[in-house]
Amino acid sequence: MNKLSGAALRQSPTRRASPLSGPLPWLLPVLLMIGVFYLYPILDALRLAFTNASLIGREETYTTRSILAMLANPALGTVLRNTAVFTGASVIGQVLLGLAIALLVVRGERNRLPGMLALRTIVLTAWVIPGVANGIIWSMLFNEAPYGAINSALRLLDIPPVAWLSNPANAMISTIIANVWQGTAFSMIVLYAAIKSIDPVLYEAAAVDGARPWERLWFITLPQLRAALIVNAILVTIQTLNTFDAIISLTGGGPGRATEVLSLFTYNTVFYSYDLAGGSALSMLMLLISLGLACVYALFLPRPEAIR
Amino acid sequence: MAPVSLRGLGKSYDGQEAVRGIDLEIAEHEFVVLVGPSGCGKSTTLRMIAGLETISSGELRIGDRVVNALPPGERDVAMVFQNYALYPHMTVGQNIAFGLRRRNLSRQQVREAVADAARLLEIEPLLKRRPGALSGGQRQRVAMGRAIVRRPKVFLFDEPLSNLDARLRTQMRTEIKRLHQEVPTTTIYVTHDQVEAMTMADRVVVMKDGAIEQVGPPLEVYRNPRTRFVAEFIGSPAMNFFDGRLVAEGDGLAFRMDAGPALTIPPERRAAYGPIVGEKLTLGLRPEALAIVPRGETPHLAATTRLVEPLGVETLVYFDAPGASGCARLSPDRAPRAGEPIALGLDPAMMHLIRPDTGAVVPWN
Amino acid sequence: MARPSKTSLIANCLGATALSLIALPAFAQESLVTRDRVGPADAENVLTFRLTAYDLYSADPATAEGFAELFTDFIQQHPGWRIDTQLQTGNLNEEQARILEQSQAGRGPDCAMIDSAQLATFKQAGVLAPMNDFFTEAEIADLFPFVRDGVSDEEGNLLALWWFTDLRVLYRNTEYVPEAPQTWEETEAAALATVEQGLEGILFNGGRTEGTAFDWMAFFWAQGGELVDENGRPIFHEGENREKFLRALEFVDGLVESGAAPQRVTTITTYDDITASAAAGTTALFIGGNWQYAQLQSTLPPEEAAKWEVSELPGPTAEERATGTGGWAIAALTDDPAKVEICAGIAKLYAGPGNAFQRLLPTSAALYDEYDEFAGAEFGVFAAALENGQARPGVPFYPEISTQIQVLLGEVLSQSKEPEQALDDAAAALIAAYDRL
Repeated sequence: MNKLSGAALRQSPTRRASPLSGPLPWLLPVLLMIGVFYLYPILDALRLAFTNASLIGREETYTTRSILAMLANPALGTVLRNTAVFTGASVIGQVLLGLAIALLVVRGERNRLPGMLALRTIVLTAWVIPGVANGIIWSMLFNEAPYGAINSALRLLDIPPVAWLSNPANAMISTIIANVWQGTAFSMIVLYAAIKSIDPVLYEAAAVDGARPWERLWFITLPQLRAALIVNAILVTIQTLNTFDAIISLTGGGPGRATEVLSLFTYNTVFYSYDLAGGSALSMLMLLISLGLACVYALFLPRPEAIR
Repeated sequence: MAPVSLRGLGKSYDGQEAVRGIDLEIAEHEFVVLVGPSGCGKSTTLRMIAGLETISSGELRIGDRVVNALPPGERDVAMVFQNYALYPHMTVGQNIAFGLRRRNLSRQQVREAVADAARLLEIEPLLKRRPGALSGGQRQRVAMGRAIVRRPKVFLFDEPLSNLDARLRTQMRTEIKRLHQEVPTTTIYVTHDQVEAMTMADRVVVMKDGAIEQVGPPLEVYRNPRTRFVAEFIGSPAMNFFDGRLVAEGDGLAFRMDAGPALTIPPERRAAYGPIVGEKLTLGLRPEALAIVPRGETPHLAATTRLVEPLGVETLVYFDAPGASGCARLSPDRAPRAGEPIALGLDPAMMHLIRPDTGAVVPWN
Repeated sequence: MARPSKTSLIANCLGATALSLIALPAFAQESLVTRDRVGPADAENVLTFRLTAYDLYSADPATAEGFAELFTDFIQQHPGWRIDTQLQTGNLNEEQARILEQSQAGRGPDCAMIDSAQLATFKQAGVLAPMNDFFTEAEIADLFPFVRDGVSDEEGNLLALWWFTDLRVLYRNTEYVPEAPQTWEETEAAALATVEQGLEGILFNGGRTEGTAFDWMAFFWAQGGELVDENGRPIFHEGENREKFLRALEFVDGLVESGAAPQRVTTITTYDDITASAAAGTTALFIGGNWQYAQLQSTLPPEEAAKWEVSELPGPTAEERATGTGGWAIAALTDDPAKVEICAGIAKLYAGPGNAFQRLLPTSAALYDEYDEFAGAEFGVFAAALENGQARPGVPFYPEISTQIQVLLGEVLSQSKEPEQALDDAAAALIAAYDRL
């Protein structure tokens, strides 16, 4: 111990000689980028939340009234409940569906079925469609006019039309369907890559051990995918929490507030009601929720030794 | 525990034959080693037995059942993989117990079975750890524990020792042998290492280009290789080869080396070699068939020492002779120094005559 | 608020993209009108003008060309001047907020196109320069009453020129509904009659969009209801206003409950949705904007188009009527009198020949007679209805009121809340928000 610190001491003068030594100069560009493009906006939003700032531009004073008013807003409860349902169902739906398609594609490739690349590409196209366009596509499909796409098809099959968007409960389900449809591709790609990196010998060992297909999924694939599933869930959750473009063009948050989620509520507060302070308070709430959920997920991340 | 029978077993990928016409009867409790260079089809054969590769042709029986169409799990075989294939997210205990899932055992029975296997392999302290925290040798033992715990009809080993260092390899070799004695089970073991094959096998199966070259007990194969390939592959250092011609000499026969002395054929072989007098042949002599003789003695092979490897109990001497080079296994007190010219006596009793065109060893007994 | 072609966000983006493709070659030979200026590049005086992607930069080449000619004439009459044009994106709310913010910081344009719904906000912010000097008394007096109120301050200064307006009317297909329903009762009966003939019934905006609240407010205003008092405080939930509010609410709720309107009205968020249904022939009755008349004429084959007629929005009685009016204004945001004059000139250009060219509704009665373009029968209906025109309340708080009314209409129409409950909830939220101002 003594020897070591002695050596360190002897070395330190030469190290100090150059101001460019040490890790800091190397980290500086990244720190600057993060600081300017991420940290500063967050801090500024935090500051704005403690003001009465408005886009209409009256004089800014510092106050906690904006935050208190937002928390006391009777709509917030509905909006948070909507957000929980929308995010929860979207994350579960996207991860499960993405996993199912990824397993299917991997299986298909192993059996050398033709068209697997095409399948992957088709699924991916949903992902590259902008959210607003996605909302418009689905609003055509869900359109309840006599010429609406899905209801027309149902009528051909003698099934009574469904109130996809005008019934508040259905509207939420329809919005989730539209969002899952678009987001599944992301989960599929992440999980596809993760499945491909599982050592195939594990499946052979399991086969020799007599594991049935569902046992191989449950005891080999899923545990091996754990890290990917959790990282994927974190990303999808944050992405879904921030989704409002698809909703805005599909239902606009309606009927009433049936599909108004926190991000859309925040957007409306700032850009429709011009309440910059209130919107900042809401975005802080969103940040807290995202961070909280990410931390909860992180608890389930496997320890490094188990990944190997 | 059951005999295994391979009849005309073959495997082809996209019309390319990787394994063809494998006929092999493996007795109950027998320890058979498939050995050959990489690409010879030994692993494919093993994987067909395991059920990991479909069988393109032929018939495979385990016990009295034809198992061609059965999935691996229903063949009652256990396999140890080259890189162990332990389930990384399970503890050692769970890894070992995994194969018992289908046995309808009580929790207590599973615990006992795992404990027994762990005791046998001396890995009891590791049961709660995960594979990531184990050394290579420990993983190897766990992989074997996973196989043993199921008491399968057949053990399959796919190059299980190739990832270990030399010392561990030797140790695990005896370990596997010991296990086989304690838990006698039909075992099929694949390796490219002929030392493993020689030391472990009840019978060795030498394979080349997807077909069996020779089957037999290790010493039998060593002493009486049927082809030049087997002669060369089995035994280390490899057999020495000298080109020459079989000629009549007086009332006997002799092999006249193209560049060296003539070797008198032992009388008991004369009848067998009679029909091939006059043909060009290759003489095969293992390193122990060569010995240093006084220079005057005839016949001898004059050579120059290139390299001397003292191994303690014996010394290997690599030499260059006209038209050939080779290796002699000598006793240490008679070993020459490198660069020294030597006279090598050749023991005709240990000779093999090989047809250069087919590579077949001419049988004589 | 609504423009001739009321379109969604994405369509505006697409439009702007198409515009840049179309407009560039079209203006290439017009040296005086380019993508970012009108007038010679080396002019000594420069006015910056923030405008929307219509009119001069319309995606319709004929409109763009017509306006280019108007602007060319204008700039030739004002030698030494150049107008630097700055295009607003399709994100209307954000753009308006940006103009306001920049003007307050002294970085705003000299002259800008302002949504009539935002006029109150701009007036209150004190960024608009009076234009009185450039208009005659008669010109100001001839503006429709709701327009004059919207653009004047308390001292009677003219702070902007509301250059075109729009209004909501009742559309009907005379094949199914020969007589224009005058009252709510007649409207419901007429709608039910069309349902019996296999149609959807009456359509109107009912989703989360400004149009939902604004179209409906006409029914509240028709009874003389008031949304806010002179301080801008919401009062629609109190006293007589509450009765009127609930009656208007029960009218539309009754339409859905009786089946006179389909439940899907809660999903209608653009006038285009309604136009589409009318064009597809699935409805014979709808509440729409005046601009949809031209759209129907151009979309439908002539014999079908001829069947569509407009009438004033129905009221609780034939005598009680109102209609919400919108449109755009042009205002000066500079202190330089010379620039204010140019800005006023531009505003007149739009209000007169510009409107005639596009057949948008002028804001003073005299202009309807001045141009032949307004000779059609529908303009008679529009001009008459405009006498009962009601602009949005001139309070900055309006967007919040609109949001709450959209939400409560959605809740009532989707049968998830009773009208009284929905009204109380909305009022409580609004009062809380108002008190925070």
